[in-house]
Formats: sequence, structure tokens, C-alpha cells
Amino acid sequence: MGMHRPTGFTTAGMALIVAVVLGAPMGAQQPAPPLPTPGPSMAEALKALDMARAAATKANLTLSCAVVDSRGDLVALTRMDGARFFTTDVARGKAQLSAIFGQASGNLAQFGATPAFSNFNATAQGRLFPIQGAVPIMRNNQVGGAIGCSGGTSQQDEDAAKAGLAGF
Amino acid sequence: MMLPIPSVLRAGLVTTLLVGVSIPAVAQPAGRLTLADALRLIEAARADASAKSLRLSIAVVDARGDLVVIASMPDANAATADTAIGKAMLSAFFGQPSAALAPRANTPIFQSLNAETGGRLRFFQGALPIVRNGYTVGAIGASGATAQQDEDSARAALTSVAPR
Repeated sequence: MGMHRPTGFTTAGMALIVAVVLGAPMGAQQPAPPLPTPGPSMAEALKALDMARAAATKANLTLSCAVVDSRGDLVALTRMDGARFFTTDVARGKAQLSAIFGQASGNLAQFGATPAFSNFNATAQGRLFPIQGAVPIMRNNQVGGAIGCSGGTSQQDEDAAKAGLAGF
Repeated sequence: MMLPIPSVLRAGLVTTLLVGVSIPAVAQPAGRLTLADALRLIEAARADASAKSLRLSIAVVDARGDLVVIASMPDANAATADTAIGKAMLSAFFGQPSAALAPRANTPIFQSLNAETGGRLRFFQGALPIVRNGYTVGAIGASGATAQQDEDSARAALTSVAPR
């Protein structure tokens, strides 16, 4: 026996019903849209800062190090005993820049001399520091945040930041 | 040669010198706030906030108002980090709870002070000075809940870490 359809039951209407009936289970089976990459938690950030500090102590340095989320917002920052006061702002500014662009802040040193950077920096209330010393935290090929240090030479800062990366 | 001072005072002087060995030197009456101190305070405040299901940012600054540690709990509002820092700075500058200073936010002197620090101060309840031997060695500030809850968590940290 063939399918009996009421008059006016269009193909489009049938497609709609199929969609509604199948919609729920099909939606559940489809892969969920990727969630935003979770930022570093406070515990992760403090652990990473511990590791960065351990590296700094080993190198006989006193640094400030900062962890920011993917948006560049501060998650945690520690200033080691004896580190100069302004190193907090520099560490934060490097990390913020690194998170925004998903690159090591050292890669952006040339960019820092351009008018475009001035615009970015104005948007960020002048907080950014286009200096080596911060590296992005990559998670699932996405930027989850950044960690940056200040207080030594740029290379020493970056080395300590990279030591902190191991905490994630 | 003995100084021409009464023996009672002399005895007192000797006692002071002897006792002086066990109490902090006069040159550093309260000692500096170390990073280790600050991290203990942060952890205590976090534990208190966590027990109350609050999501706070907690900042510890030194006596000069310079940042030592800031930590944001997961899902704390992004603006709370700078608010916690600004409250703590204010509290450290005056050695008073930020709540006691908040009503003076609009006075010319406080406005000037805020301009001087690049507009970083926040005139809200939620920060308390860290006092040692009667000296302000820093301040702890929290932000993310009601002003009273912020202050309660800061106080809980001070009580559990550095009983006065």
C-alpha cells in the first residue's frame, strides 16, 4: 500500500516534520560546537608562577611574573621579594600583549614601533609592553592566555616565563 | 665608666638591651611583607571565599601600595582584579580599612591622590591593612561579591594567617 498523504501536504512541510522529529536526536549526535578554550584557573596560574619563580631563583633573579587569560585579563601575578615595583606592570603588559596576539611578545618588538601598535596600546589604556619576556599559553591550538615576566634581561624574562608554561 | 644615671634606670636599660635580642630590631620594627606572607594570605582568603561560593579577586600590596600578589578565582569578573588592587592600595596608603576611607572619595585630596597613582585607587569597602607590631606593612583587598563579603574574606585571611 502506498503512502497516503492529505492534500496540500507539501514536500517542504514533510521536510519540516522530519527535521522537527529528527532534530533533537540528530542535534545530540552532532559534534557540539567547540567551547571557548577555558582560561587558566587560579590554581593553574599560581602553580605556573611557582615554576617561573623557581627558574628565576635558580638563575639568581628577582622577577615579577603575570598570568593573563585569552582576553589579556589578569588571572594572577606575583612579585618576588626584592623585585622592583614597576616590574608588575611590565610583566602584566607583556603578557597581555602576548595573549592578544597569540605570539611571544618578543616577536612583536618591531610591531611595537608602528602607529598601529600605538592604537592598540591606546585601546588597552597604555598597558601593553612590546618587549620580549612573555609567551602565549596554547591549548587545543587556541590561545588560552599568556605568561610574562619582568625584572631580568628580556631573554631571562622569557626563559622564566617558558619555565612557567610547563605548569599548564 | 658608668654613666651618671640612677641604678633603677640602668637596670631597665640592661633589661631592654637583653630583651631587645628577642624582639625585632628597632630599624626594622615590623619587617617587610614577603611574597610568602602574601601568598599565605591569598590562599586563606581564597579558602574563605570558596567556602561561601564567592568568586573573588584577591590582592596583596606592600606598605607603599605596590602590588605583591593578585589572584583571581575561576569565573571572577574580569574587572575585579583591578578593583581588588585599587582597594588594597588605598588601604595601605592610610593604614585603614578602605571602608573608612570610601566616604572621602570626592574630597580634593583624595582626588589628587588618585590622579597621582594614575587613577588606580578604588574607593570601596573590601580592603584591610596588614598590621604588624603596630606598623602597616601592606594591605589585602578583595573584590567580586558585596563590599561586606569582600571585606569579610580579607578579614578571615588576616585572622587565620597573622593573628593579632
